[in-house]
Amino acid sequence: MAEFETEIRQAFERRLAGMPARPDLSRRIGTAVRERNSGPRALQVLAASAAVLLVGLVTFYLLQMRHVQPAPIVGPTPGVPSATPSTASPSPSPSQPAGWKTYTNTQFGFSISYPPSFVVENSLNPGMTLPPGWLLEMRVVDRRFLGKIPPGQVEFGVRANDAGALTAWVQKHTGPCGSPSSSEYYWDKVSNVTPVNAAGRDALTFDWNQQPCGTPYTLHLTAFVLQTSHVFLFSWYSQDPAYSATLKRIADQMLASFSG
Amino acid sequence: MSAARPPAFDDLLAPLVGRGYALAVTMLNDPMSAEDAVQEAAIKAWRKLPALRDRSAIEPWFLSIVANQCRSVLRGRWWSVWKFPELRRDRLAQDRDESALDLDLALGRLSMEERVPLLLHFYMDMTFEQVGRVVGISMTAARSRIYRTLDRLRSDLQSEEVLDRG
Repeated sequence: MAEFETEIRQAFERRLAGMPARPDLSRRIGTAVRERNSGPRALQVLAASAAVLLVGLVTFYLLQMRHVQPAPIVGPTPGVPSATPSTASPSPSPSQPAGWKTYTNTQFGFSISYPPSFVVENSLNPGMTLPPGWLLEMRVVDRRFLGKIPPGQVEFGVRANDAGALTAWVQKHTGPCGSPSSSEYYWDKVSNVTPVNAAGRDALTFDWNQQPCGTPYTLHLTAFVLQTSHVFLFSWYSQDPAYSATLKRIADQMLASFSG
Repeated sequence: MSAARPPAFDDLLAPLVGRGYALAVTMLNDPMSAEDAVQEAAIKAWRKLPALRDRSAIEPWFLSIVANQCRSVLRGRWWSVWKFPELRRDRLAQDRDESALDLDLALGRLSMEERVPLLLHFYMDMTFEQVGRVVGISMTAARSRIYRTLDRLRSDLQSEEVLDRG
């Protein structure tokens, strides 16, 4: 027993030795603590009051704007038409490349095809559970890269549609990573938001550069409403330019094969 | 009557920064994020310090603030934390002998809720009561979680041995 406990201690020592803190961490934190707590109390109260007033004004302004604009626009491209929710419209003869396999989900009523050399698996690490609003998270990866860092992969999942229109849904789930409400935020900032037709229904495509959230990838996403109460979210990423074109072609074919 | 010297950061919190970092990096698996989390926790702790009555309990109190800070960082980093088992596996695999690697990988497979009490108890030598205070559970729950996790680690390692022999 004691021997095993010693081994565990040594395992933690190895683990921590591989991720050391910078030597001046304590000094830097001491400086930050002094700086952040040095302001006069009255000044802090004044700053807090000003912040509350500013939030109130911004909220009022946004509410006014909502009355003026019929649909919220997400991303830096002003004037893009809003995608409307699709209510279980029949898919127009989804195409499936020869020899591809099909993943079928009876719970959410859809199927999607994928290359025979790929595998579909739950994308969560063991022991992790999905937060509220997340209903399904899968990844599709070339089996050659299982157990390694893949040069890219496709992901798809189902989330609750808690906003109605897709643009509003994307906007509702846009927010800073690391904030107290961040489990509700799926992305911190999106770009290239474009209404498209995907798998025979109104959809939105957009990009999410994850750099500010600590991961050096850009996800290319497509979202559309699935049976009114759900949103189907499809994405792919690749950090390898050579693999990127291949994966994009596969992702496009997969999306075209969607049926639900 | 002499005025009492106000508490100094160097006396109270600085000695705990290293252990706070060990906890944060165990929870976040990323040195930069761990340093940021400890810094934020230290700033919060310093503000709350007057409310701490028992200064002898400052370590589990500070570490509980670090743990809370890490939890909110994790909520924001859902994507990389959940979806990159390979990243951690590769990082662990460097420069380890086979048997140590098995234990390291088994530790890595534990959930954060299982791994953190082990770190606090076996690496930081905290009592079950202190572990419970940091994690936010009772002493009894902390003790049973630690023993349950030990059992899980052992069976995990045994099943790997069987696979290796096979």
